[in-house]
Amino acid sequence: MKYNFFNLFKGSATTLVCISLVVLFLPSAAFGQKYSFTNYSIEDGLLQSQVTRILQDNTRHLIISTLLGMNRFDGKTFTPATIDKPITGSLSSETVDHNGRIWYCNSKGLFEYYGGKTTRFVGDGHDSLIFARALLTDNNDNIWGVRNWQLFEISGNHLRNIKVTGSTDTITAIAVNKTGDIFAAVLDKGIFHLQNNKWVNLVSPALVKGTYIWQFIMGDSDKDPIYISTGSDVLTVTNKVTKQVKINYQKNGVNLIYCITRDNLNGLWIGTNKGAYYLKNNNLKYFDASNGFTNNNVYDIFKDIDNNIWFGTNGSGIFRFNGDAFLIFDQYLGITQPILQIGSDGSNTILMTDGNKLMAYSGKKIVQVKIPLLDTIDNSLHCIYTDPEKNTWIVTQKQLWKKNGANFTCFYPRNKTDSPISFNAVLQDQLKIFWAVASDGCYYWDNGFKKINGINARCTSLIEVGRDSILVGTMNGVYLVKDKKLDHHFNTSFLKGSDIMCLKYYKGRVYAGTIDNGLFIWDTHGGPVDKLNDKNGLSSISVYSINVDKNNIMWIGTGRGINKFIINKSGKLQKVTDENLSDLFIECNQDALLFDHNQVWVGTSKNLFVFKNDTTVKSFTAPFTTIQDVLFYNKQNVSYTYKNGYKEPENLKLPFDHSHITLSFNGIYLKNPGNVTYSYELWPLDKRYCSPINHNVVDYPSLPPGDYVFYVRSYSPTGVTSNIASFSFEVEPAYYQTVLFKVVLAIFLLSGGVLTWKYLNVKEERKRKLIAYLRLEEQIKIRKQTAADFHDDLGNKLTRINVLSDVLNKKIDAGLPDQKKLIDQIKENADALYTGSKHILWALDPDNDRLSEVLIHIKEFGIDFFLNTAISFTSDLTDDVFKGVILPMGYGRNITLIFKELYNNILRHSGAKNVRASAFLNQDSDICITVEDDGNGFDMNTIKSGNGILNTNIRANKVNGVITTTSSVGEGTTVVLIIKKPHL
Amino acid sequence: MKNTSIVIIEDDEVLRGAYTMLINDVDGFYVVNSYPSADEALKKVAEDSPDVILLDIELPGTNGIDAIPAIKKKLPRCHIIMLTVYESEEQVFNALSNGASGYLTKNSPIKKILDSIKEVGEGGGPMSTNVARMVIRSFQKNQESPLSKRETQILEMVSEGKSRSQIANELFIDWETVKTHIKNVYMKLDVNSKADAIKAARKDKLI
Repeated sequence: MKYNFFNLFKGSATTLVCISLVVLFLPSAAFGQKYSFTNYSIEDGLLQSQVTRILQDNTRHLIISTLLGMNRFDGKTFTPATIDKPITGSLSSETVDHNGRIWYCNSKGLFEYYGGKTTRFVGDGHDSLIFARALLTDNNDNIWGVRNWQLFEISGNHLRNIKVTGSTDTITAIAVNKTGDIFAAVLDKGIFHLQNNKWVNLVSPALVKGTYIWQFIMGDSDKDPIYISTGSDVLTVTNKVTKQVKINYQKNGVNLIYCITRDNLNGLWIGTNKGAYYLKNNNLKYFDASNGFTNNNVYDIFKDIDNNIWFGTNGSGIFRFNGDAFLIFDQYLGITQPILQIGSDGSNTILMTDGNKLMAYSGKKIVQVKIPLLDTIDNSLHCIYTDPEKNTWIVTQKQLWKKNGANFTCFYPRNKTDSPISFNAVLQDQLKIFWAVASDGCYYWDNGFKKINGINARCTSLIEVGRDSILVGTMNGVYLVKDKKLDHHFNTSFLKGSDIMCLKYYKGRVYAGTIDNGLFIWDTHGGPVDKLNDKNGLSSISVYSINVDKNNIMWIGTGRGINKFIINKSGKLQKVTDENLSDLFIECNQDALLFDHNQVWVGTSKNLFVFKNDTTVKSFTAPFTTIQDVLFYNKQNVSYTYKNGYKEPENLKLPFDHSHITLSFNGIYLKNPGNVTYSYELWPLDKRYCSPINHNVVDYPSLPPGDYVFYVRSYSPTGVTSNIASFSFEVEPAYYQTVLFKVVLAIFLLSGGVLTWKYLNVKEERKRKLIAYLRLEEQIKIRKQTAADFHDDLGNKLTRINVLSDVLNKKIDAGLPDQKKLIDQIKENADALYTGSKHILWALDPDNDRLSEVLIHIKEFGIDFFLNTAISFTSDLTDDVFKGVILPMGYGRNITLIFKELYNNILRHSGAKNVRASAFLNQDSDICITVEDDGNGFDMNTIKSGNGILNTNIRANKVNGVITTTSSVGEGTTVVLIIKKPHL
Repeated sequence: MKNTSIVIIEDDEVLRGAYTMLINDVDGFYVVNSYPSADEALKKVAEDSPDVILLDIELPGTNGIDAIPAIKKKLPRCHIIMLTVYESEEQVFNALSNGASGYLTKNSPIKKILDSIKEVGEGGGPMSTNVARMVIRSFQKNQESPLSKRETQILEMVSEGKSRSQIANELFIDWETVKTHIKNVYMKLDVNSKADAIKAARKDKLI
């Protein structure tokens, strides 16, 4: 459905008045060729086909206004931005600020669009309907517009009306120049420039008197002309002179001018009610349906940041002008069949054939050339060849024609006796020998065609590779004919079975194109054979035509487009990227590639292409890379940010078990969007950017925890690198991967290890102690046993002595007292020995390490000792507290020996009647054992320390004890042994 | 007064002869016969029909303690006095429980031996001082304690106020083992607390 948009525009366009005009020139549009435009419309995703305005935002996206709403366009995909009903789009009433905010008007007022959100502008709280005719953005992102022929400015949230000269001003148009200055056209008052908040007259009323300025555009500098569109005419204002750009509009059926735009090369584009004009250096071109454009209204012409020219049309969507790098001849221009052969007649005429007829082009029209007397029945044209003498040979299925100027002569067959030969190609070598190849072999002319013996394959092409050396391409490899004979030594086994499509000899190398095996290159002087195919530079393995231009560049026509290679000094081919060729998807025809002056003529299966062989170095622009989308596969709340106009999660944190993330990115390159390549790196996993790839999505299914930054850049087909876009995110570590957990785990393991080690150690220690204890017990047991055995044995022997002494005593006469005494002594000693051994035995028993046992022993010993004496022995040596006191080994024996000594002393020296032994623990838990008697006592000062006292002191020392003796003559004696509390 | 007839079973020939001579020297005592082993004695001792047998422990063949029941079987009215160098608790009790009437160590003077022979004849139980003391002390402890030796040991340590870990350390056993022992003690004494256990054990002279 199309809307009559023109009604919006009609009223003001008819008020134009022509003033004194100087006729510049009357250029005429060239005829007979078709230009390259790329068209995008609803079938490509455009919202609607009537495009009123094209803008570009800060991310290089095109903003395309249609009568149904706005689209964003990245060169490949259209994304709807706003869809508004009813249709309210209006000419020039959109602008985009430097942050990418789109301002637009419709019947409901002024709106602002950003990041998927539309906001209606309400200035200072006064919700008035703002219907602006034109909108512009200045350098400070203030929005300027015209409503009701009045100027207004929006700064921040404030809208204010602007007066240029007075309140009665009628503002017809506004403009902004390259530096962001604002200009306003006031009806009958000229054009004004806002300088330092003052409106300065730039174009006086006289210069534009009576002119309704519908649109005007400022030059880049003061010297550049100001272009003015009146709606039906275009004027230039330079040096205070107004001139009319004189164009014969009527000739093309043009009566309305919708828009004017300047390109970077100072050319002027004019959009009309039927197609568009381009004027540059007094050279005018007109574009309409007849030469590749459209007959629709052109509402807007937009020059993007890379100087691509875009056209918004009424019903055909948008067009991009691909430049005049090549022209296309198609059915509009008389080409109805694919051009199979192209040749030059040596003058300025290009000859071509579609197989049925010979055609000529000399700059204007393609015309058919009639060959008189041509056999027209089943006689298709095979080849066009121009020899060094500028004769053009036309090879047909049945005949061979020679053309010289306008004269055609049939070279063969000359008479009916000549056998019919169906030639495919001909050649005149430097020896002026005429060669021809046919379906059945190779011939040369020597008063009639002579056949070369040995070549029986269908021959397709031939070239001269040296003096009298002809290389023949066949459907089964190539053959060398030397001195008119087949060279059987010539070995090209690598080509055996190959269907040769074309041959080229250049600087000592032969280039052979095959239908299914790419291009073979070899040096005629030997050396390795190089192969070129779709893996290393060719668009296709089918090579149909090869030619080398004067700049040493080889053009190769393949089944999937044209490739260019520069041949370096060592003969190697290095690919040359030509943006005009890189997205041409065409199938070339066999041997249909011709250089003529600065043009390259290429016959393809559909059209005839004529390329400008322009070798001037162009400065290429770079794509602009953005992160387009971030997809992840877990449900979590993330805040979104709008970066580059796209929705991207901010501070994205992915859990370790759902770290699947997909990133898509976009290198916006409007000139050639299909051939942008990408290179990316995921820091810190990747060490460098990956090799350029074509797809713009990367998927990371399972990333380990960490912080990541994804960097991506893109490359234009010529290799120009874009900016780097980046996206940061984080994959959170699992709890067991956190530092805290690791530390805790380490501590846990460490302490566990220490505890285990300690436990094992304790266990080991316990075991060791147990073993030591058992060993000790065993030792003690053995000792005890040994002592017991010793004691028993000794006991028996002593008993013998004892008993024998008794026997002897009985038998000795009572009158021998000395002898009896001796016997008693023997008996006593034996007894003492017996008792002593028993004490040793006692001391060896660990049970007797208890203080209580020791004291009982002292007590029992005392009882025994004093049993048959005059001394009465009493004791207070048993108490439960002593049970808990364990003495170190050996203490018991020493203590008992001390008391034996003491008892002995009492018995022998004291003359006591009573002896009392007692024990207690003092407050320090020291053991105190006392023996007191009521004997004679002694003077402490006179007593000599005998062996007995010395012994007891030594023994007391051994048990960490002290012996204190208290005595005085007649008062008895008290001996106290104090043993420090034993620590076991 | 009837002379007391005595049989000496003693492997030491010298002692055997000396004791025979010394006893025979005293009026009222005479040695009927003497044997170097219990086995030999058992063959003829019934014929000797002594009032008292002085019996050594360490003998070739059947030892003295083991021989007591056999002798007693043949001579139920005969008093047996052990005359030995051994004075371990175990042997003393075995001998007494097997039917010995007295227990003398060999260092006893001949007078003591003769007194003892007299004493048994009068129904006494003569013993060497050490042995007598041992017997008395043993009466202080219940010989039929339900507690094992280890349990008694642990209970004694508990009564001394030692903690379980101290006991474990001192006995070189696991803390858990100590716990098990104490639990068994509680069960055997039918008590529920440490204090009750100590009280019950003291009462029954288990410790």
